[in-house]
Amino acid sequence: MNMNWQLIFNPFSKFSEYRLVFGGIFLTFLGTYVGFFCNVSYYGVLDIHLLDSTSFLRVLIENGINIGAVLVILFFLGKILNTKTRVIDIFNTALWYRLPIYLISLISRLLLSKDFKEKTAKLLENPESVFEDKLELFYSGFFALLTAIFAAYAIVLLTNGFRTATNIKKWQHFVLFAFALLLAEGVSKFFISII
Amino acid sequence: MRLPIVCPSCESALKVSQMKCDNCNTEVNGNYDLPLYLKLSRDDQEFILEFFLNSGSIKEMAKQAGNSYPTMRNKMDDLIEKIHQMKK
Repeated sequence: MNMNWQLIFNPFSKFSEYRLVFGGIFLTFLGTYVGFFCNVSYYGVLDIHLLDSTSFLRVLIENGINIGAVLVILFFLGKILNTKTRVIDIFNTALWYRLPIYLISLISRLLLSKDFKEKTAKLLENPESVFEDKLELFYSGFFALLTAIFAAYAIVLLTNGFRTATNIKKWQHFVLFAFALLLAEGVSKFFISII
Repeated sequence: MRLPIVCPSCESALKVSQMKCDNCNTEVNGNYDLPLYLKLSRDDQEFILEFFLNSGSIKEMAKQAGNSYPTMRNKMDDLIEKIHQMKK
């Protein structure tokens, strides 16, 4: 893989664990501030929900739960698949896979109007009205496309981070990894729902 | 000059059939297996040599190669697995 592409899609193969940890912790606080600034709830490992208001502490706790769920579940699976798996490598994966999620949170506030939720609710009642505001339609479509691309990027970072940490190669191991992600999604949603 | 380790025609492992003393021109003929280390690819041989020269520190090797520690450790694990397969 070309050097620059490798830095974008698999930074875990190039940077030392300490640079990734310190950078990742900084990124987490930055991402928490972005979530607070954009009134976003990180409700789940790969989710963002747009809110009317939130607090910095709440976003920080949600972020912590998501990172913690990914860390614990992937580390447990990693240890089963390869006993040499180190917690620091999984921790770095859990910190850095969130970069695209923070970016899409920021983009959501730039692209979507404040009354987006009301407009969507109105649209569901009267689907023909979709053609009334073509600019809004364009922004929404563009945002949906960007969300899909950034979600895919987050999964690529998770996969490459886990693969680098555990050296897995068999397709069965990747299936287990996918199930572990689904489990982490469920666990994080459960804990976030009770805070 | 690089020592060939596989047949350029069928890619089977090559054996040593002749050795020569540069001093007195004595030639030894036979059918000898290549030592395990020489059966590895050039890159793998260099990797093992680097590991030895770095006193067995994968961390130091990773630093020199500009890679992360798990990337280097994975390469090492793959090489160990490859050698285990060759020894069977």
